[in-house]
Amino acid sequence: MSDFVTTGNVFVPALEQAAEETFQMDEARFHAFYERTSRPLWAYLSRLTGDRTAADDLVQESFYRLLRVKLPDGGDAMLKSYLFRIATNLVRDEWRKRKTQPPALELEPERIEGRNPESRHGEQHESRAVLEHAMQSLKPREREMLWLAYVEGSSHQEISQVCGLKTASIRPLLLRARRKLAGVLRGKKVAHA
Amino acid sequence: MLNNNTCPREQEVLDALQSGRMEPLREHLTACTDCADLALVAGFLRNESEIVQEELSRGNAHLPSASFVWWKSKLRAKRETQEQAMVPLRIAEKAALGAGGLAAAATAWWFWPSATQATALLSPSMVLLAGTAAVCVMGFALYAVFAKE
Ligand SMILES: [Zn+2]
Repeated sequence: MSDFVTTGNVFVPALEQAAEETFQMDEARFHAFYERTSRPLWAYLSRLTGDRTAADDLVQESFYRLLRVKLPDGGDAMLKSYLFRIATNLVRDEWRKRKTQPPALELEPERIEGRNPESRHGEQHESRAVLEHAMQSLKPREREMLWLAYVEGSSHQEISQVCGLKTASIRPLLLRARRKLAGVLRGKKVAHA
Repeated sequence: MLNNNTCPREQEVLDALQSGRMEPLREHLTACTDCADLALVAGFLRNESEIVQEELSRGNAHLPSASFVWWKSKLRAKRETQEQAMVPLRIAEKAALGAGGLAAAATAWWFWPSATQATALLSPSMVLLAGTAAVCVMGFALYAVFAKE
């Protein structure tokens, strides 16, 4: 690749190198980090947005922004929290722009029907309609917190960083969201707090 | 008022879910609402996560490779750097265009009396020709400035 790139009638020297220099990690570290975090991030985004295509775009956008921002001090766990925070903010921005609530989640009936959750997790008595209703009934922030806590195993501090909330408020909010989802999954009506 | 205290055995429930050994907790789960909620919700969400992971593994959902994302990010960063580098030039172009326009207007204003006298001596077809030529030159100048955008 040439060291010079034509822009209109002006030559900008070593533009490619200049662009790469704005990245906050080298290619090897990026590869390793991407391999570890892209699948969990895609899972989080696809269940948060209910839209696989949007999840594809958001994953790429999140990693791009991570490359361009000044990274926080700390290890890979901190970096992962930061990545999820970027992704969460992107989803919120998108909803704000559209001024709509997140859509119903895409669930695959054949997969769900093919499972036996009763034997896997004890108390689940699912049907596609119940699952859809369960996820729809949650607010976006509740989806975020529950997913981070019970799928990602994030601590309250990590959840607070991703969701932009105070650490002390995570416990009651999480508990409320959990009770709400449990109620819906049991087919009960849960009073909104 | 919501009770924010939770059962001290919650971690046990999460560990049991992870290992799939729920049987020893069966009795506790029937007696403790918090742990029953936790088992239900965490089990449901982890099940959802497994469905998504299966979608990815079976190729029903596509996740680009690290190399592709890196390459695409590099291209985008390059384009953005390029655009940033062009900003001062675009401003200079706009300023030059503005100054040129002002100069042209001042010249026209200055020479207007002598131009009207001169046109009185010319035939209407010559005036039309000169007007058309002026419009063409101005149009070309504007095109040259804005075509790049
Ligand atoms: Zn308990």
